[in-house]
Amino acid sequence: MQIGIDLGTTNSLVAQLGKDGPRIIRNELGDDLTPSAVALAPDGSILVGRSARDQLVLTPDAGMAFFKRDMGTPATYTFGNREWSPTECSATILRELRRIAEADCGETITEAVITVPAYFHNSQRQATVDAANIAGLKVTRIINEPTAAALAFGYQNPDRESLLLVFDLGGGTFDVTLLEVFDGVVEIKSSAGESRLGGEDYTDALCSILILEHQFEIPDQERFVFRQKVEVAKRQLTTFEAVTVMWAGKEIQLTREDLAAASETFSGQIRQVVRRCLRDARVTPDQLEDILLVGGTSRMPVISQFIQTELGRAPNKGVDPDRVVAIGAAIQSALCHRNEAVQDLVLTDVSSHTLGIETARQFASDVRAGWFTPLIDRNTTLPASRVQRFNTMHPSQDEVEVKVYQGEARMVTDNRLIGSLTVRGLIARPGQKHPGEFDVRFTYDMNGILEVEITNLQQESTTSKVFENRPGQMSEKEIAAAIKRLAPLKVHPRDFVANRARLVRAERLYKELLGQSRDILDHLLNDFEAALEGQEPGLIDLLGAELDAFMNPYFRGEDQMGS
Amino acid sequence: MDCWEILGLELESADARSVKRAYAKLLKQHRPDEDPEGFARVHGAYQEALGELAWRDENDQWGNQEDLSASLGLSIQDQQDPRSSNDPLPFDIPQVEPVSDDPTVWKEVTGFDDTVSAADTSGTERAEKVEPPVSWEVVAQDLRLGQANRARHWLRAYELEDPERVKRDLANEILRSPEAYSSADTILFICRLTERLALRNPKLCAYLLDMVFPLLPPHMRESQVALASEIIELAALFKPLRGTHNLDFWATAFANQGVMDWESPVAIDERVKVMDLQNWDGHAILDAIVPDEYSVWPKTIRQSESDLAMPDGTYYPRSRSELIGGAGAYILRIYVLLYIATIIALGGFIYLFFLVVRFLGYF
Repeated sequence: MQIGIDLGTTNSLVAQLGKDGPRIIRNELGDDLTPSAVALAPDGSILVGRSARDQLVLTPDAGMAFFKRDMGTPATYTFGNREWSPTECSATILRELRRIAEADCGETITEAVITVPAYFHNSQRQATVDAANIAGLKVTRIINEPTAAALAFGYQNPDRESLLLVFDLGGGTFDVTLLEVFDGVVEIKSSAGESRLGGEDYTDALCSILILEHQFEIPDQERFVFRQKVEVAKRQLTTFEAVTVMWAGKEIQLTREDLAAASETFSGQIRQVVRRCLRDARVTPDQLEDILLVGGTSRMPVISQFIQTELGRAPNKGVDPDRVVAIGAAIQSALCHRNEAVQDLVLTDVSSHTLGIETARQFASDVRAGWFTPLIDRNTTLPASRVQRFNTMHPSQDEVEVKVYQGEARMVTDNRLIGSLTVRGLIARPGQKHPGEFDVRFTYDMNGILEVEITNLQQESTTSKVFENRPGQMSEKEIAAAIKRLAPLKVHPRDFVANRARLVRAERLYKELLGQSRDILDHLLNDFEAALEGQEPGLIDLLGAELDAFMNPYFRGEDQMGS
Repeated sequence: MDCWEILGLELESADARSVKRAYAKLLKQHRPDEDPEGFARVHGAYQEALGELAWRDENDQWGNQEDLSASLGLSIQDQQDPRSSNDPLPFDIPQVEPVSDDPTVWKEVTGFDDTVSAADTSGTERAEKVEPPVSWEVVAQDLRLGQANRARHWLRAYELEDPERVKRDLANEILRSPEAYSSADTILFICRLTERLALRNPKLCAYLLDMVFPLLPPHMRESQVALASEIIELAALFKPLRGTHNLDFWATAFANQGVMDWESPVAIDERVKVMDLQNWDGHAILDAIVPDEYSVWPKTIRQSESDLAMPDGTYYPRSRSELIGGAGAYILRIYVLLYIATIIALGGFIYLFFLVVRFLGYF
């Protein structure tokens, strides 16, 4: 089966292109969004998804959320007496998603298409591939989130002809992509983004504004609880003009103006990214025919307002910002397997970063190294192949180390090193036609594989090296070790997951309630636990449903909305 | 293969919609992940075709304008357009002799070392070649009237036929009657033409730009700015332009541009762009474009060349001796002399020591 996975900062989804169109696969709690959170229960078993998020409210130190933002960095988190890397946390989520999909279709799944923000650089993509490998998934292709959204749009509107802007503001990342859809062709023209800007930043800003305004002193244990409250309030502001937050016995009134004030800091960043994207494609805002909003954060009224003023056009409301990326991933997965349902769809993509090599330059008498010479510019249509001629700094120089970098800065120190290769035999001799000259050819394809080929013009010999981001950074040994590390953590059988999530949630709610409702919950919970111990399936379902009916109204704000 | 042949369309009859349709159809046969070469070809043709369409539509306006005036019984010169070429120009147009076929003269005028290729064209082998489809006069007329699209077609046909001759003839034509090319319209047109040509023939482009520049009256600031930025952009794009020799023109061109507001970030940006073309001999341009009172220097200028003008008009010192002047210089020289003398003396002592040792050894 071909599945597509949207590995989000706040929520993750798994989707599949079935006979009657793409669909999101629901988890055993009946939700299609699985929160991207990992936590350890007091008994040492691992919790993933909603139960993990609820556990984090109870014990913030027992797990981690929002680790996508640290992908590809050496950051680690400590919980459960050991260190976790962001890759391992993501692997746990992917394993859970794989399990959900397998439970749904009853087959073993080994391949998937995974989406990443367009502005993820090489090592972040590599970390994502590593995570998939640890989870036992082979990555068919890594695609960009806005590209996936556009694919879904192109699939759902096959006769539409449009120049559209995808504005993807998710939980932790921000991307803008400009593309054209016509006759089944989805042509990406340019993309730009910011890999550390998203809904979580808005929540943080709102939190710090509240803390400053009301002089709260919040201990570390309660920080996550407070944040969760503000988060819910922020989401409610999408539908209501003002909401009330209860904290430390005070009622705080939060209005849309507060949110607008909190988002003031980010609008400058957003504007810059949008402009860069349009400028790269040489398109003016009035040429745009559609604006798609993707990612849960883009629901905020502040964002539509911003788009209205900045681009002079109201965004398209026709797509579901939370689910469109996963659907696009499923379509891409079908495309990779040449599924018949998508045979009229073609996707052309662009490179999201500039690729080039380090060069030295001569000024009057001194030579300085460290300049970045671009070969493939950002937003070049892929696959692309470019060649440029370089020469040695000195006639007696025999060897050259070609260092390949990715980034936009003028000097290589500010860009990212991908790798290097060495050419020998360049020493200049009298009578040569091209003393010390060599050609560097970059070939970059849609799978993110970069081939660097260097031709020594004297000897007419060629050296080449392939830099892939698909196999990932970790060796097979490291992956095996990581799988081993995750193995002892107990994974519960399918029906246990739902009950477990219920218990964690009920315990969390118990702490918040008072008086009569607390007693009712206690009563319900006791019955349910007794039923669990008795292992009577019919009774468990009945009491579980009763418990849910009692709890659901309290969590409506939290569960409704996504990434 | 021509981009129109790949798409199976014709420039005259095509529009953006049909180009897209043809591209979409071809793309399904050449998917980017399965047939990269085929895709690169189709995509390249698609881009080029869209570019040519935009070009055609833009230049059709000129064609229409001309048709209109022709139907009214007016020639372009008769119109009271401030940009018409009948206006007395506020400066003298340089009188240049038409370029002869002699390769050495050609080299002198253009500054390009085309001796080999020019000799090639005047040789017997080339003389036997078939004549181009139309006479050069037709192309030249189109050029003068700003019939961009038609002229481009002819030029293209010519170029396929004999690229060297196009270059020579075009240069001759412009030099023969510079007045005809001094109207802003025509100049801008030539610029656009060169922009297209530059992809195939950067040297010709460089030459044309160099030639068109002095023909431009300074009062046409708007077009001047357009030209300047076009030149800068072109120069940044195409390496061969960086070796262009007419530096004085560039310099005066930048100097004349009061339009470029020195304090504005755009101006700084443009200058930085200029400076980034490291292969240029930047002095002439710099002296001209940087006013003395300008105190905020773009970083790149300072970094890029050690011997550039300082904001106060002086130069960065070129050698160590300029750094040390006055009494300091004498003191330094004395120290250096003393140092050398010490070394010589030490050497002498060591030599003597060895002599003594050897001398003692005999006994």
